[in-house]
Amino acid sequence: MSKAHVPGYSAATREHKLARLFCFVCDGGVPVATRCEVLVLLLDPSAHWRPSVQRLRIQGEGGRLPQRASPLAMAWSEVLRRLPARSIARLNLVCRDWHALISTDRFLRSHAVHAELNGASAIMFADCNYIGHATIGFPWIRVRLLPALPCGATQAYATTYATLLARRRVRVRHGHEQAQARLPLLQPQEPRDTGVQAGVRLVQNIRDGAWCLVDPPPPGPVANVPPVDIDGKLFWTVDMMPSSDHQDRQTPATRSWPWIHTCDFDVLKGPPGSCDGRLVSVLRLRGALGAAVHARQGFNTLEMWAMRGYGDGSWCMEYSVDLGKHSPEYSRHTTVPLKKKTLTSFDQCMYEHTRKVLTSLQWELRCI
Amino acid sequence: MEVDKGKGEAEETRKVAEADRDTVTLKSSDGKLFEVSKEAAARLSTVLAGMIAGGSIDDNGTDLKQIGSEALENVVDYCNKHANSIPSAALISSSISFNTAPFKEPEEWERKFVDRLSHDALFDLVEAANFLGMERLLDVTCHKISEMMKGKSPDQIREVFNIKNDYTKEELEEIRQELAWAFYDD
Repeated sequence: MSKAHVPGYSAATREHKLARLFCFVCDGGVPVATRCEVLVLLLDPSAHWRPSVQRLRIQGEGGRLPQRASPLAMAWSEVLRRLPARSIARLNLVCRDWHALISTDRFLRSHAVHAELNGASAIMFADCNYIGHATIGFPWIRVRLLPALPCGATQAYATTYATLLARRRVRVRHGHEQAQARLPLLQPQEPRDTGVQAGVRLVQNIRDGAWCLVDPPPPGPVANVPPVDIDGKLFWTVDMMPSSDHQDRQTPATRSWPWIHTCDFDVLKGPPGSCDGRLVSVLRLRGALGAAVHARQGFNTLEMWAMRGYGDGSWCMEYSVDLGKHSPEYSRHTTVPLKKKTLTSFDQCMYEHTRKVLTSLQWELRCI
Repeated sequence: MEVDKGKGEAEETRKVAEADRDTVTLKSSDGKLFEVSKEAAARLSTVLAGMIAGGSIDDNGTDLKQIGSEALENVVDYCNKHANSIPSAALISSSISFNTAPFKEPEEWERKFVDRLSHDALFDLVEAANFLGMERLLDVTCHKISEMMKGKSPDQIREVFNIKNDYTKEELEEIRQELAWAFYDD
């Protein structure tokens, strides 16, 4: 199978599809299953992962009990729910009864509960009523949403927010991340007048794999600017004008997340030009936080800025890359440098101007 | 009427020295009576524990209409053997890696216990364990069945468990496509 078939991810658009996320809603202490929809972050080997923040829609109460199943079906249900999601998905092919069994909310719930109890898996994706995708995305994340739905609520759904960020790559096809983190059980919060009951605001601490709950949640990253990890801090860009009309406007600020010790985050001032939407990416530049900014109108150049220190937020320009000089097709409007593991800095690929590096440069520069 | 006393029952009886009876009598759907230590029953079965605590145990045989005598015999046998076995760290360790089976591996005697069962007996036992809320027995029996399924194609699984394929070719292909992610070659 080609990479293009990785579900949920479109190589053509580099978009991540909506997938259903199977999670729990705590209702009076008893976790009941529900489904919500969340943008899933997948890592295609050819692509950079990207974070996203998406409203979760919790559909009804979920986990409805089916009509009485036969004892044999119950027995099979017991057997199947102990299997890994991937195997279960394949077993859809056995017969209609199994397919129907696997598709029930009750089964999905019990599978998730079992996996949860046994520390086995992770996010359970119930996509198209199939259980699955546990090996994709964030296999080690276990999300439990616990918005206490108000009793007798007529509203079919409650909304909440999920901010999921990870710094670890996920092998999509094999997905056998050994490490896994237990998410803290989120306590239901006091009902708020907005109807938003609780949220998942979790960030993984890479050192011990623990997940921290953050309250209030940081704003979500801008989707098309990949975050960068520098010395244990994750930097990503945020949209300071969170208007829905300007979702794809570039961001004026960089947020840093001191992952290791605290769950605080700061807003850092971006380099000059980032405030009017010219910031195109953040990257590691000579071991420090760097940012690529389009030059002002009329220049086909990318400016590479490096941050002097986190304290005062001062920036200095390290390079000015004349894109037209390297290749006419790299116009400032279509070019964005991306961090790539093999290249320690942007200048490396600029200086080692061999054909090979040009190829990698080509990889580095993607069209917007 | 036949009363089946497990091997370990005598010792268990002495251990649980209580004023009232330390065994419970269970009655299968076909009217056979089995005795099992109260302590083991309460420890291994949430349903029996609830019945014992709730006082709904009948001295003349608590009716378990859903369970046949063969399955109940196995249940009682399991309880007695379990009472005799060295108690292990029953809690599942959290260090199980992502892609391994999410069970605690059955112990040697548990393996032997399920290995001697026929398919039908095994499924009857799963049903009984499910009915009685015996999580560990469920784990062990289901683990046995999942081992029988391991590495088998849907075709082979149908054959082993005598399941009829009621799909059309087109339907199978449709599911295969929808679940493409599950069919990647590893």
